[in-house]
Amino acid sequence: MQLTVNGNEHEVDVTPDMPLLWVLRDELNITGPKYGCGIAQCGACTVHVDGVAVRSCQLAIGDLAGGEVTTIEGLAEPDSLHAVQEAWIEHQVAQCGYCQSGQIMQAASFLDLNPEPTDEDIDAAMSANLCRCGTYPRIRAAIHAAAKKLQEA
Amino acid sequence: MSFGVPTAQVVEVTNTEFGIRLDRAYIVADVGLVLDPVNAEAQLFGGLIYALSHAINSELTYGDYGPLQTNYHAYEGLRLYQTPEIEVKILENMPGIRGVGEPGVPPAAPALGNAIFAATGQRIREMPFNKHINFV
Ligand code: FES
Ligand code: FES
Repeated sequence: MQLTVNGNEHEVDVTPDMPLLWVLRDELNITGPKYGCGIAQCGACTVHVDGVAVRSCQLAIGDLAGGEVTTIEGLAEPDSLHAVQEAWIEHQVAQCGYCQSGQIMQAASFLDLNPEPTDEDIDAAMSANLCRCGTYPRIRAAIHAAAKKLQEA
Repeated sequence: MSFGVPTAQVVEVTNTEFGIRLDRAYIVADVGLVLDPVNAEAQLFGGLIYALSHAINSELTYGDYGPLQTNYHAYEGLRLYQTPEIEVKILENMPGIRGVGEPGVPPAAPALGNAIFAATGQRIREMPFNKHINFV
């Protein structure tokens, strides 16, 4: 099967029911997306398909239908970080880091759809992403900061 | 004393018609010498958030030679929408360098229990509290 990840085409020899997360991690060795639960409860596996956040543990590779996959490795332009990544660094959001690639991919896709979010919008968009380290207050702050950056850009 | 660190926490809640809502929380901890203030703050509020998960809804029960809650569908944890606004104050009066990962955890359930008592008159003496009261 063929798929495009971060602008690169790949050919993988797997069954169509293999979840995208397994293809990325085990077949392509793209390990930014994390396995947290495998049942759509945590968001650690979040990637973009055609720019929209999806749980890669829930998407069978056979259902990708030519969609272009972006992982945390491909979110930035080659030599500048995405505004969400910049804001994340400025606010020192990450603790253990395990959930963070998923949080960042979720936040980037959400800000694309809602460039001026309220706290309630952020609660609604980000509450399916678990963080066991409790970085939520800084996730909130960093999303507001990233929204500002994107507007000024 | 919380893992060797004098720590105090206050939680503020509102008793809404759908259940208890967490509004604000305050942490003060005297950790001795602070090496990294930004991370020390994150560790303290992270400890509080982790502990609120356990106070509110995370329970492990055992059977079949292991925990019965096998994944996050049955073992929820606090999510962003439930997270109160948190203020952290770190003091440096104690001698030496003390841990900062654990001290945020133990005071959270009693602080929440006291807040629920103040808001509702109900004393909850069993964790997780969602066995006895609803949360929004
Ligand atoms: S691993 Fe996909 S949502 Fe948890
Ligand atoms: S930073 Fe550790 S789980 Fe989110």
